[in-house]
This record gives sequence, C-alpha cells and structure tokens, in this order.
Amino acid sequence: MNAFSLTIPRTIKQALDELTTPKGGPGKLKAGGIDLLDLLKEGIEQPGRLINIRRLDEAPQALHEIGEVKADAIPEGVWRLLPGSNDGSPPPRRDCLRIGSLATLAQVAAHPLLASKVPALTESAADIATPQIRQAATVGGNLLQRPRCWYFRSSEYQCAKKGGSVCFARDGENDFHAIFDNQVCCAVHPSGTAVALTALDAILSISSPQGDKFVRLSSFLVSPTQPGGAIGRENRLEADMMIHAIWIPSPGPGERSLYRKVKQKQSFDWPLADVAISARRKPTGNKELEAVRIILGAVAPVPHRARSAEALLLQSPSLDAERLRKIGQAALTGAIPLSRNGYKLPLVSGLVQQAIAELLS
Amino acid sequence: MSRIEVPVGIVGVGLNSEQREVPDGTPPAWRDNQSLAQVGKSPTRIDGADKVSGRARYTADIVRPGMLHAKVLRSPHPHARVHRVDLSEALKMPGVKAAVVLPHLLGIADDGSARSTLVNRVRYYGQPVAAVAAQTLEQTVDALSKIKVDYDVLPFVVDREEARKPTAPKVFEQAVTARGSAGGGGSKDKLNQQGNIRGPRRSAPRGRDVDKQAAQVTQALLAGPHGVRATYKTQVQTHSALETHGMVAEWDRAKEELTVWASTQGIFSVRDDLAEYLDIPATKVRVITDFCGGGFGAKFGAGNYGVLAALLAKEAGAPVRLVLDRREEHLAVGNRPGSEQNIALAAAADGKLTAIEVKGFGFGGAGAGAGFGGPALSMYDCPAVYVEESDVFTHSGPLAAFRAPGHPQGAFALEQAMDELAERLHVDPLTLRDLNDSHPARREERKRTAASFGWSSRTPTGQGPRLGKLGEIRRGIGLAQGCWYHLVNLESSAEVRIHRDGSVEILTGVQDIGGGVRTPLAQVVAEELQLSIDKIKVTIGDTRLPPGPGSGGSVTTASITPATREAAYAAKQALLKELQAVLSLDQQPELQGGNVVGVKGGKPITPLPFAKACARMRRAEVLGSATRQPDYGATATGKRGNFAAQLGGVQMVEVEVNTFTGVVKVLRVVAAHDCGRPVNPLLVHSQIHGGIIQGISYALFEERRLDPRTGRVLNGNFEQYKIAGALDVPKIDVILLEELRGRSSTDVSGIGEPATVPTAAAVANAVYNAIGVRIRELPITPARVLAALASQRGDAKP
Repeated sequence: MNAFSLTIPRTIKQALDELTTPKGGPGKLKAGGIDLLDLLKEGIEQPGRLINIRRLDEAPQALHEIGEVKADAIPEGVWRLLPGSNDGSPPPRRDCLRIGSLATLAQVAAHPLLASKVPALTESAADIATPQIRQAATVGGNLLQRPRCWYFRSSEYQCAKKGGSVCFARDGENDFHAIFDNQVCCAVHPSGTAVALTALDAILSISSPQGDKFVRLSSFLVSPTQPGGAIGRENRLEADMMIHAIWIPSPGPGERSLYRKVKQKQSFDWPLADVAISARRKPTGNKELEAVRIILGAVAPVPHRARSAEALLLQSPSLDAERLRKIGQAALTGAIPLSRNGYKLPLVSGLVQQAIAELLS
Repeated sequence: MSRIEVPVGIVGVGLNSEQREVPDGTPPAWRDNQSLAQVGKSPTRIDGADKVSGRARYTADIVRPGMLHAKVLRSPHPHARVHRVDLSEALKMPGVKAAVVLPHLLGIADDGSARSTLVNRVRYYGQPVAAVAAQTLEQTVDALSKIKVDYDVLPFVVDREEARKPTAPKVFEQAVTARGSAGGGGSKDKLNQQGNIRGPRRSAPRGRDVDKQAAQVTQALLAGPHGVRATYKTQVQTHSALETHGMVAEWDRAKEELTVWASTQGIFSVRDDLAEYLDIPATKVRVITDFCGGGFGAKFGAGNYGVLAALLAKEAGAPVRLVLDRREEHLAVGNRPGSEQNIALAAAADGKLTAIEVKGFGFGGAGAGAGFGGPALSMYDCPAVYVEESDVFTHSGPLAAFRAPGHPQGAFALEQAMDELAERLHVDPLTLRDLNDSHPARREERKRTAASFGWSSRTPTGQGPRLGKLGEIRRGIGLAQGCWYHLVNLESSAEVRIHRDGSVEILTGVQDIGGGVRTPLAQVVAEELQLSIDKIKVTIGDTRLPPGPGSGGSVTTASITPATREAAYAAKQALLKELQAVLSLDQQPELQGGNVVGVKGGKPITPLPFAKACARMRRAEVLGSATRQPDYGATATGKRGNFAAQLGGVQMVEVEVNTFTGVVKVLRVVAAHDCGRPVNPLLVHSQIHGGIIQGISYALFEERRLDPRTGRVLNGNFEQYKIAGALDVPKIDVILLEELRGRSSTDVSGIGEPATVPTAAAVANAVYNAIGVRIRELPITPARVLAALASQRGDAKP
C-alpha cells in the first residue's frame, strides 16, 4: 500500500472540490472502504489522497437514508428517466423509492419497506459477503466495486484492464469469468445489488461540479465493448463525481421481483452466477405478463439482460417444464464460454428456471 | 517388573480382564470411565475463558520492548538460479536494522547437496530468499523492494501431466530424499528417479512380501469374478490454520542466548533446529508457545521464516517479529499433496475382497513423499494388497505433513471403490464393509452409526425423492470409514508438584495447538490425587519444562497423559511417605475419598483433607516426575495394520445436490470414532467436529490454484481459496467409543487425524447416491457435478 493523505470534507461540494484539486496527486473517495482497501493493499489503486465521505456534516439524511418519495417531489431528472412512455412524451410521474448512496448493505437488507416493495434488492444485499462487511459496505460502493478477476487483483499481472496488452484469463484460469461479451476483458461485474437494481430499472443521481446528473443504472454500467465503454473501467462515473442516491420506481400492483445467487459455498462467497427478475402482470388477472426484466450477474463485464428469455417468457403465462427449459436455454443466447467456464451455461439456464418458477408459479 | 490387571474391550460391548507386565511403581489400571471421578467427564477447557476473551496470548500477539518487524523476500519466479543477492540498498532504507540472505533452505526435498546450496536455486514461486527487519512493517515492505536479486530465470513446469513428460524441465537434477517431521511424511530413500518422476515406492501390508503380494494381486484381478477399476484424483489443499506461521525472536548478546515465541506444534523441534542452524547449544535456546492458533502438520521445526527471524534478531540485537501473512501461508509453508490413483479391487462371489491394488502419483510440488496408500494397506482383511506410489515433482510449493498424511486422499479412492464394488455385487455398502473388515471397533462403529443415522432408509442410487419446485434437488446418503495408527512419542516427560498449601502444579513441555491439552492433563492429575481440576495449575509450552511430545501423528494426549499420571502417582507416594514420617504413622497412609487416612498406634487417625495433610509437610513441596514408557507388553507401539494398534472411525453423510446448479450441500453427518479412553469427551467431540468440517471443505471447496503459464499461485487468500464457513457446517452427531486395551496408565489413543480421514469419501459416496453418477475428482465443484450430470445424459460437452 502506498502512503496517502486522508481528508475529511464536511460537505459534498468540499468532497468534489477535493476530488478535482490537483494538489497532492489524484484523490479517491472513500465510503465504506471495503473494496478500496483491497485495491490499495494490492497496489492496484494508488491514490495520493483519500477523501472520506463516510460522515459528511451536510445533509446526512440525503446520503444515508432510505425511504419513499411521493411523485410530486421526484426531481425532474429522475422523472424524465422513468419507464412507461413509448411515444417519446415524458413518462407519467410516479412514487419512487430512494436510497442514499451511503446506506449500508446491512441497512438495505433489513429495510422493511424495501423488503415489501423490492425484495430483489433486499435479497441481493443480504447475500453479499459477511455480516461484518455488510455493516460497513455502502450500496454506492457496492455498485462501484472493481471486478474480482484474480489476474486483475494481483499486482503481478499487468493485465489489459490495468493498461497492459494481455487478458491473462482468456487463455488462463477462467472458471469464474464471463460467458458473454468476453472478448476484450472477461472479468465479470461483481456487484449483486447492481444485478437487482438493473432488474428494478434503477436511476442514479450523481453529484458533480456541474450540478446533479441522472442516469439509468443500465446505461451507467458499461462494458468495454459498449459505446462509451473502456477496458479500464466498468461505469461512466467521472473522476469528479460521486453517486448521491439511487431511485427505484415504486412497484405498482402486480409487480414483483426476486434475486437468486448460486454460490459454491454458502458462507462468504462470490456468485458463480446470480439473477434478478422483475415482472409485472397484466391487470386482467390471468397471470399474463405485461413486462419482465431478467438480469444475469457474474456472467459478463456488466449485468447482462437476457432479452431472448424475457421475450419467450412474455409470450405465454404457461410455465410447464418444457417451456421453462426453453426459457432457460434462451437466457444463454449469445453466450461463448471460455476454456474452463462452460459449466456456467447449464448453471445459468438452471438458475433462471428456478428463479422464474419461484417468482411466477 | 510386576503384573497388573487391565480392562480390555469396548465399553458397552464387553470388557475382559487381561494381565500386563509393567515396571515396578506403575499405578494400577483404571477401570472404565464410568467408575472414575474426573477422567471421562467433560469439563469445559480450563483456558477457555482466556481464549475467548483475548487474554490468551498467541505468538502474533507478542510485543517486546524495541521489537522490530520483519518480512521475507520471496521469489517471483517458479524456477530460477539465484546468482547474487544484494542487500546494500535495503540496508540504507529508513528504519532498517538488519537484513539477511536465507542461509539454508528447509521444507524442500533434499537433493544431497548441502542445504546452503539449495538456496541458490528457486524451485517454486514464493520460495524465500532473504529478509529484512525494520522499525515498522511499512518500512520493512519498502526495504524489501530495494533488495536486488540476480535471477537467471529457467523454464518451469507446474502442470501434472506436462511434468511427467521426459522433455519437461526438471525440478531436481539429482536424486532426492525427504525427511519426515514429527507430523509424519518423509519419503523412502533410494528410489528410482527419472525426470520429474520418483518411484515407484512399492508396498504391501506390514509383514508380507511385496513381490509375492504384487503377483497375487495381479492373479486375483485377472481371476475376478467381480472387480472394479477406476482413477481418482485429488487436489492440493493448504493447511490454512487460523494463526499463520510466525515467530518473535530475541537474542541476548551478553549471554548469547536466544528466546523465541513460536506458533508451533513442537517447541522442542523448533529449539533443536535453531540450535543447529545458529550453531549454539540447545541449552542456549528457549522456545515458548503459550497458545498456538492451529497446526495441521506444517508447524514443526524452525522453518525458513524462523531461521530468518532468529538471524535478524541476532544481527539487529533487538527482538524481531516475523509473522507470515495469509498469502505466504498459501505459497510456501506446505500443503496436502495432490494425487492421481488408479485403484482396482477384486472380490469373490461372496463379497470377500481378493485383491486391492493402488498405483499412482502424488503431486507434492518440490517436496517428496506424496503417498496415499495407507488406507489400502491397513483397512481391510484382504489376502493380496499391493501399492505403488510415485512422486511427480513440479515447480510449486512443497508438501508438508497434513492431518493424516496420505489418508484422506487414499480413503477418497478406496472408499468410493468399495461402494462401486458393492454396487457391482448388489450388496449394501455397509454389508460389504462388514464382510471385509473384522476390526471390532470399526464393526461397532458401523453398527452404532447406522442405527443413529438411519442407514436402513437409504434409497437405491438415483431413486431418492426429487425436491424443489422443479424437482431439481436430490438427496443422497453415503458412508466411508478410515483408519489411523496408534502412535506414541516416548520423549514425553512431566513433573507434578504438590505444594504445602495443597495446590498442585503440572509442568510439561507439551504445547496446546488448539486441542486443549491443558484440560485433560488437569483431569488426569485430579483423578490421581482425588481433587477437582480447579485445584491444579497446568504449565506447558516452554522448553525449560520437561520435554513434551510434538503434536503430530495424533500422539499428544496418548503420549503425555500416562507420564503425567505417573508423575502425579509418584508425587502422591512422596506425599504419603512424608506424612507417614511427620505423623509417626504405623505405615504409609492412603488417599481415600479426598482424605488422607492412616493408622497410628493401631488406631485410625482422623481423616485429613488433602490440603490439611499437605500443610503438615516439612518440605515446601513434594514432586514426582515420569517419562512415557513404551506401551504395555501386548500392545507395542506403532505397529501398523494390526488390530491392537489401529484406530479409526466410520462416518455417514447426507447431502443435497441441486442438479440445476451443481451445488452440493452437506446436511448432516453422524460419525463414530474410537480413541482409546476418551479423557474429555467434549474435547474429543471438538476434534471430530473440526476434522469433519475440514473434510467437507476438502471435499467441496479447497484447492490451491496455479496459473499454468506463470507458475504463480492465483488464490493466496481466503476469498479465492474457498474454505468452509459457518453456513457450510452441517449438523454433526458424534458417537464416541470407549475402547480399552491396556496400552498405558491412561490407555489413551489419538483422534485429531482419524477424524478427517473418511469425510471426503463419505461426501462423494453420498453425492453418487443422490445423482447416480460418480465424481472421482476433488473438489466436487458445481462445474464437476454439472459435467457429470451432462455425461450421464449423454450430452455433448459444452
């Protein structure tokens, strides 16, 4: 770990100023510090200054609290990104759940309102790491984690993601790597909450020197092969920005969600694959679905939307074994396994089937 | 010599009385535990509160005035020549007080050259090269980066198959040997060595001719009529003790004496190594281990880190703390070697085994002696048994003794093969073992485990109920058994002092590696002196005390409790003799019901409580000391494969397999084990729990991963090296036999190692019962389960 200075700003503005000041080398925000400490210890991050935002005096509620915001109080930036308009006109305003980016995973996991409205999110938060880590880790930090690829995480491999020329995992030990979109960098996005929040179509509000910005999580997280993506990063957060809050459109009647994770061991393990599904039934009451999002985790550089499986699922409410099998198979559309991770194909297919059966039958 | 009566047999099954010839002055044998007041009871650990409150000080906790922090420079290459190590720049760094080049390389196979020239060749990634001591750990890390090592990088091989090719880069040019440690291991000398293959070492059960057995096995395998043959593979597992290897070393320049605090399984082995490598008398080295946070076989001797710590302390003239980090622990201080075993069994139509053959390779990196034949050689009644084991060297961290060296690997193959044979013969796996194993303890263990577990409810393989919303969850049960050796270390001495105030002290240089040996020592003495254990102080873990056994081979309690009991017995005799003189008694009084009773002038005296009796002593204390004698006559120490000397256990396991995701969960385990006389059943249960948890972790999770293209360890941490956590631990029920055999004055045998031997095999057999396809390679990962299920369906490989 390199030597660094620690600054403790009082306001968000001060924190952002600290980020942009050229004095003392590049600065890095520290919230829970869980992933950052790993990166510092291995020398992968070598900031000159750490800026601790864990306890800002300003608006502590806005950064730490979890609650529901009525439709008329939703910021315009969020409102404009809400789903529901197909003709280009602004979507209808609706209530939103709001989570301060510094809320801990433990707070998220134990929040009764979230548990009743967006169980996919609380289930994902509850399944991360260990109770100790969940007490310290923030949901914002969880979304910004760097991948766990063992080549990326070792200072001894100057891999492509770190500016080198080789992806060591592609022809190396790639059991835990991507089966989709793995041609440039095959590290997978590690965040469980990102999978759930993408399924819930969450929106991020981001503080920047130019004022607040709003972005859908699904376009905030970006793989190296997607427009605006780059191999050295997993998201569009610029060096002078911080995630301020997470907004989730409050689910209406007939909307439900679920998150499931496959771990080799049950204590403290990363997912071999995880999935979050959100689905809305038609008001007709015949179990037909109006909308569904199936998001796969630990299979691609960012949470992967299984659109073919979604389309198949929308076709009919019937969920017999054969149809489930086909939907599971459809979830693999576009998958190209590497030398050692072919097992993820049946695993993902099986996981999707289990999750759909649990959520909808 | 005199003769004593000893109880022999399994309590609850039947006890006979036998005679043993013993030296004069040996205490009379105890009856079964039920007749005893302290031994066989389960008081909680006398140092338990210290351990859970943080008062107990482990090596990593030791802080000495002016203490420096040291760290080891390790090779980033798996294979290289070391031409020059330049410490000069490192020595100029801030805070640096000493730097040394490793003078001797320990822990690697010995190629006949001096250990001081072994250091000139790097044979594995992470091999220690040099070390620095500075005022802070950060300064030490900075200084390490300034050491210049001139490496001549050489081609390497870490892949198991590549290493066997004649063209593979050689790990050793000369023939090698390997010494065992007190934890076991080591290798037979003078084996054939070609390229990276050393062996085969050819073995048959003790007392049988190897060539004849080999011929008989070949014949029986040809004759059949029933046989099975398959290849089993096991991975490399690292020891992963909670406390890493470490030492705090302090050199007294005036006295030229070294004091070290070490996380070790054998304080005397550390003392002897340091005396040898620093070239000072053993009397000038003191080793202290108050507490040790776990040892599974890799914590014997000073180790390279210990030699470095001592040299740095000597050079700096200040105490030096060198505690390895978790990554170093995975890289360079030993592992359970991998294996590839081709096993063949043959049986007659009645199910009786006619042949067991195991031939294969062990993968201990740059270490030798990676065997697995133990279970095949000693578990079953089979007229023809033949084993061939060869080492395959690779440029990776060397093996070390690891909890029942060779046995979990061997049992994984043998016990699955037995199940395969049972299926071929259409008999229940339990029945097949009853047919082929007449050991009375195993027989009883099978019976009791089956009853408690509900073995009879086992459904035929693959026909269990389908659970889960989609029928994707399958359950299965399996069993396996294991054996181990009744081993004793005769270098086990104890002293018991009875003070005038009635307090009692035990002094012995044994160490507690987590098993909790202080408590059974107190129980044994409390039994002898008819006291409660809170009256007894136990002082251990210091080479200034009478020598105690190293804690390897499951010998600790079996070795040190008889000496301790005999020391207490001698102290008691001394006390009673003293009282006879002081109180002018007609003859030597006796201790009865906690009171001293005697006769004076023909009349009984008023019984004297123990403390009051002690107060009458003219001396400040009386003491007794004793050294472990060999086991009594009929049960000579360490005979492999004979009933009297064998111990072991039977484990039954229920698993749940998710056939959609390949995830295996162990739901419950019932384990029956024997360890002679259990002194403290609670602590024995803890050992069995630990062995089973470690076995489940071995079965499902653990595997050291190497990058084939760089030879580096990829998962040197507890995030990517997967190891069982709390949620992976099933319900475990323990059935403990009290198996008496008149071995010694306490009749204790071992438990630490046998507890982990059968677990992985039992899990694998249960997985087979659940899904109907056998997984012959460890660990049983979701990837392997899914591949097995796909091959069962006849799917093409994805």
